[in-house]
Amino acid sequence: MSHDAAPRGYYRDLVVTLTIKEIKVRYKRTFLGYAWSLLNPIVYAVTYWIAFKAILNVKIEGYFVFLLCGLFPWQWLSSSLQSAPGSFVTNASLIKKIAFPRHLVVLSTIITEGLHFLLCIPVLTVIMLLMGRGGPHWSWLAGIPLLLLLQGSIAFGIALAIASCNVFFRDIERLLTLVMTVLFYMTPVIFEPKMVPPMFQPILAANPFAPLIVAWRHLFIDGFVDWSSLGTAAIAAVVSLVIGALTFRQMQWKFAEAL
Amino acid sequence: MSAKGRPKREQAPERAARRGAPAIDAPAIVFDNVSKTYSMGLHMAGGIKGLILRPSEAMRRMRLVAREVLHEVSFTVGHGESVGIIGRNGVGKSTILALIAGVLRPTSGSVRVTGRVAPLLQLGAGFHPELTGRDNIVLNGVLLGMRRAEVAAKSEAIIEFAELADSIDEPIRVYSSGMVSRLGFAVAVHLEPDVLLIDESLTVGDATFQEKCIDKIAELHARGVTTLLVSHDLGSIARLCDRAMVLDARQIAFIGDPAAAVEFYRPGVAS
Repeated sequence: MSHDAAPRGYYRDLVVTLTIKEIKVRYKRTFLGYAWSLLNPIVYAVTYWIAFKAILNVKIEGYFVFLLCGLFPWQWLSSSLQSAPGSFVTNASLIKKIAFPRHLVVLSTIITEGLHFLLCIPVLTVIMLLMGRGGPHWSWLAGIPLLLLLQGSIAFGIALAIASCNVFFRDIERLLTLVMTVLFYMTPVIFEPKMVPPMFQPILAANPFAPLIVAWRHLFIDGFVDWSSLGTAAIAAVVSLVIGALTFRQMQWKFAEAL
Repeated sequence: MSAKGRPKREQAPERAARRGAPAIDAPAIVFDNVSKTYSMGLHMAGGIKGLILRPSEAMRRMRLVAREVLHEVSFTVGHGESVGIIGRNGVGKSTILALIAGVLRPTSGSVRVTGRVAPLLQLGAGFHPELTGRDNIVLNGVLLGMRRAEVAAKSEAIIEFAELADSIDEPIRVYSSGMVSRLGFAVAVHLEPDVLLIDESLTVGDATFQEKCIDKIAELHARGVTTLLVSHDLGSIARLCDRAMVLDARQIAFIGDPAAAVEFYRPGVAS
């Protein structure tokens, strides 16, 4: 039971079990099920298209597809982080009794959201083909797995830190809703990075989500792997994994006391 | 915790043979001068505001409000031994179990446990109400440390033991509390633990199932499973345990023969 000595296969079993549980629980008593992960970004894309293209006349070609290519990956990030505060808090009864590797609860949420994102890609592809902008490309074979890994790592590190801190400071839950909204407008989802005035460029450079969205868009629309964004994202991934791991290791022994 | 995998099963009969005798070889559980202090201020009511506005004060408060639950407690439990823990509320009984389960770390001293630990969970902890009984067996079994294949192989035996064949494919939320406890107990005992931790959870199900639980615990004990039992039910302590300890004032006030322990704890009750 002591998880420092648990065999590696056990970790995989636990992640698989927790992920299956997440997916099963998610769709209990919902009528639309998986369609929700499609509907959300599409409704947002239509809304932003009306606001920024039809009304404000933003100078971006094929703005609808442009929005979708940012909104789908963004949804993975945002729903992963939004559910992070609850990861440990809602499993209090387990954490107080069983010494299982708790960080895998967080990981399974990231994987669940990632699977939803993956299932959205075919729909995104169909929309792109219908609108005659972008489409499947050989570069996807390398780009998609790499970006999945990088985005998953960034989300995992940050979510782990959030989940751990929220055990002690429940304010984080509330704070996060606000932070995610602010962060959304600081990430190039509805605009292009080059449109940002020099004064605000540092914000973009410091935002770990910015290179991800830029790289996804280059991959989906332009069909190439944006290595420079990937490099930046890789640094962000290492930093966030280290922060997440340190926070978790520091705090995990106090979970059972604080919950 | 140092877990050296699962102890070899072939030793079980031998262990059962010296049931009740103090263990001589590597013990299952060793508490060496264990103290546990809970910092009560850790869960700060002021939240982040307090920490940001007056960091020094917030940090000081965290350290000031602390409560020691165990003070330099040492004891050893041999393989296959069954030990009861009695004492008033808040005296640290559950803390000892949590330290053994590896959920808490001692503030000082060391806790060593050999083998797979199965904590018996409180009513339905670790179950998800929307999932079926069958799905919950897998979830709970894997959380407790079983591999998926292992749970699959034992699934039928678990269902049979829990007497839930008719409702196993229904979501747990429609189960009665007795049914949920039965399932929880069934999963834990089928884990084939080396160390079984029982915290007041003997009061599950109806009288017949309670009897079945006690029989099962006795059977595991006879097979050489180390058992720790926290209970206010002094009768079951006397019946199931080889030894019992009485906790009082952060320390072990008495450890030894269960009947004597019960007598020590509440003179006149044991007989």
